[in-house]
Amino acid sequence: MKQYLFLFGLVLAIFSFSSCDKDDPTPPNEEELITTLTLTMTPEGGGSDVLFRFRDTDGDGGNDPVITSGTLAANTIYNATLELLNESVSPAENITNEVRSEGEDHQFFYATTAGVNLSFAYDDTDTNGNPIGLEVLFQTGEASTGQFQVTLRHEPNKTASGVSTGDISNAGGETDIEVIFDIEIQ
Amino acid sequence: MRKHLFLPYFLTFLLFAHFNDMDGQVPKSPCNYSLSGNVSDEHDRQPLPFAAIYIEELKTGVVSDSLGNYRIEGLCEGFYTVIASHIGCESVTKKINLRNHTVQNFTTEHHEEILETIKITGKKNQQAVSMTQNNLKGTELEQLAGKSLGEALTKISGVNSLQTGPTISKPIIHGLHSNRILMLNNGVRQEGQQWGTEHAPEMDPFIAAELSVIKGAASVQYGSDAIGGVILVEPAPLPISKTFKGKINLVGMSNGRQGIASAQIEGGSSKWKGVGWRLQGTLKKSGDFHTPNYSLTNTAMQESNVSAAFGFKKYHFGMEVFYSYFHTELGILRGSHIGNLTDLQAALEREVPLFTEDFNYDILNPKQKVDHHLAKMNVYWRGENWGKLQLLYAFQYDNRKEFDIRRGSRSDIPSLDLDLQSQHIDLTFEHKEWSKLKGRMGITGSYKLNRNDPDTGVRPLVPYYNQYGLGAFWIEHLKQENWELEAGIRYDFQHLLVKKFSTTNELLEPTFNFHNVSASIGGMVDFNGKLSFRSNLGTAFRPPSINELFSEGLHHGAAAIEEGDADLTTEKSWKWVQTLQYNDSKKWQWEVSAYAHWLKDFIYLTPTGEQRLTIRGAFPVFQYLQTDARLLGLDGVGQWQFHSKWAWQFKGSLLWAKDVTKGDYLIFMPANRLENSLVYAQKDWGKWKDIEVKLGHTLVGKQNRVPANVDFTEPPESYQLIHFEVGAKFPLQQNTLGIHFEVQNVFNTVYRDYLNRLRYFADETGRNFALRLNYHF
Repeated sequence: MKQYLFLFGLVLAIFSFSSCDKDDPTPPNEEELITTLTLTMTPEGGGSDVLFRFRDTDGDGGNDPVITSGTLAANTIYNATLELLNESVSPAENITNEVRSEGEDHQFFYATTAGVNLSFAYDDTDTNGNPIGLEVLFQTGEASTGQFQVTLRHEPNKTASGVSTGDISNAGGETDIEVIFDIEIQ
Repeated sequence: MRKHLFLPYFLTFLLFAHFNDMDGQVPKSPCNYSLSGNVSDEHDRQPLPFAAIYIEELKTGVVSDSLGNYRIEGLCEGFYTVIASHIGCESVTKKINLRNHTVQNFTTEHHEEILETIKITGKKNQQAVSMTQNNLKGTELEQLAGKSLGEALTKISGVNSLQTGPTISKPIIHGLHSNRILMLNNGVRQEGQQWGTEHAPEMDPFIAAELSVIKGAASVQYGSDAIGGVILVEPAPLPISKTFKGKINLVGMSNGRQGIASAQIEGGSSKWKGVGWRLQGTLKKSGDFHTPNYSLTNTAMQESNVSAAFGFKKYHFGMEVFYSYFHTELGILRGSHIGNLTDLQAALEREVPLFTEDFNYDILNPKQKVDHHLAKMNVYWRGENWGKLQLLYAFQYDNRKEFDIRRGSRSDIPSLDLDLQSQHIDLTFEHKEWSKLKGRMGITGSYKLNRNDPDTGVRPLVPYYNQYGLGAFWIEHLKQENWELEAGIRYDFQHLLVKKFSTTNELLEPTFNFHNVSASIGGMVDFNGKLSFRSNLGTAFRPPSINELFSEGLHHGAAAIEEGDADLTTEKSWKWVQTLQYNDSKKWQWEVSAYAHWLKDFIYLTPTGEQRLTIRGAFPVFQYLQTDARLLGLDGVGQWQFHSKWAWQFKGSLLWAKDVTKGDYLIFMPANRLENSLVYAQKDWGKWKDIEVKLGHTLVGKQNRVPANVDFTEPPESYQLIHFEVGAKFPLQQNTLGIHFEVQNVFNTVYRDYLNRLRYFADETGRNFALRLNYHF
């Protein structure tokens, strides 16, 4: 009978031992998160920069994102740069370089709703000579209003028809970013 | 490591099989055969010394030795009637077709114990008789070798499989799955991350000698979560006398170019009576599966499992230790990985999924890697005057890693890494039969600790938690000659302590207490030995699971934001199942069950109508809400032996699942299903035995009973599949080689199934040829 009691005691001991885990969890460091996208457009021949910004510092959920839209001048060429930040950590982390260094696996696409007189051309390339879309040239036409969409595709098929000139229809891949801004050209 | 351990075994076994085959070809002189075996008590498996074994035709016999072993030599080929008898026992008669050296074991029953002893291995006899229970075992189970647990169980009427592609399968009983089903792995509640619809049970079906499904609300016996039913994975009892035997299963399948090997050896000791052991292991590898028209890229998988058991069994005392390890690594269809609703829409319109490539065995991201350890210890004491006391302790460790497609060379870091430790302790007392009343009572305790690895760099789907459970139950069972009645009651308490971070990384520590009382009453009437009726009304409960309380964020596979609700209350259910069963042991054998299941505060995920804007675009927000639900269903299964060699088998199930509060249907419920097969069976054909040829047809209707405006697309159309199989046994000396060949989806039909979560992206798998060999020695 003694050994049964011992067995029973052992079981209880294991049971209570593991129940005493009181350590607190640590929050994950969400280093992959993109909270902020900023498209800075600098007019050729001088003038102040125009900003388009999507900012959701606490990630999905929580507080609503803050979207800043800009007004572009008609018949102007803009040199635009795109910046991605993770502002949920302090200091904020720059994600732009990470995307650039994996340029072959990423591409940004820009599109407008019908009636917006805005055309664009890629101004950068990855190691294979295909566009990434972090540097872009925009050209505005006559005054118009509408919406403007920036999309980032991960692992797109960059050699599919039309993709290198910015047509998303054959790009495939999966969407990492898809933000929409109001746009006004005046 | 495991590979190295098991490979020599396999080689040895294969050699062994080969030599036996050669021996079988040498003609033997007649009247040179032996009949040997062991006589034991059916209740406690104790060997019975001095039992008489008598061959009626030869009017001769022998007496078993002190270990219950006997041997009769110099027998001729032919049919014999062998009777084994022992003082105080019922004699057992067996017809034997002697064509070789034959082993025939006898188990006899003590008359005075029939009514008072519950089998040591226990569970089978203790299952509520009023509950509808169906099993898979023996040849039927062997013909399913290589399938996952979820797929294998679909052989049972009323059980469906919830799929996420070809490799992830979860059982659905009467429309309910995941946290609403309890799985007992060798008597221990399986504790993994069951809440996830793409988290398959972490169990090796090769462990089981029997798979059973209890289709009632069975909380009284098994505790929380047994709302939809209970699945029992039961190994055979360990040997208790001197023996050494084993079996090997080898399976090859064309779809996925799968190979599966499983082996088991077991033995007992003559020196230490009652001691037995078993070792078992399985290896499984498969590449990309394919639909009739394209490959399902990244659906490869591999699995390796081992288990070991050691036991000691006597009438007054016994114990068993069991350990099992399950490891799987499986890829998820690459084309089903989407970023947002735009991607989902594109996937729905696309015929062939994105990223489709030619066949390969690579497992790339997205993938899952799961390890599950289970250790159990079981001790019992028994006395003639009082009954049986049983103590069970189990420890489980489950680790689930999910790998996503990530940026910045983070692909080797899992985006989900959950560690779940759980412990259970059960103390059960079965009292001695008291004026035809059998009963048992028990107390159970449990502790669970779930932790997340913060190195994932991703906010975890479910938080850190501690969960304590305490329960007590009492069940009584009255057995009369033609009817049985049983009733039980249970109380449970659960305490949950959660530690989670707010969006601003502030540590919150909410706690919850759930109390519950459940009860069950049922009975069985046997009308004439052929027709019987059983009815059971049971209640069950389930406290909200951790994901229902706390999930928050994007569910990538579903392109939806899912939000838990910490105010959810316990789900309660009443299930009434009645079953009419008929078996005339000749022509007809059938069973019809009708059930009505009411669920109060049924927790379900439903769209709130809100669209939440994120940097990936807007997503619909789904929330866990509670409603009252009603499930009405009908299952039928049967066989008509219309000719000595021909039979017709049928199986069907219907289910109406409604959200009573809203007056709408419930989502993801199984569609109507009907299966018919024509079976030809022949006992002998030359050297072959038990030849069976089967041609089957499956009809699955379109699920028209779906809630309005919830799903992303219409349910798939109805489909029909043809299935063919042929099996036989080949005697190799004293052993048997079983061969089974099967063709699934004979016509390579293109279809999609409503219960497959990848139906938005790809077709179901196409034609599959499967060859199974099993060898028992």
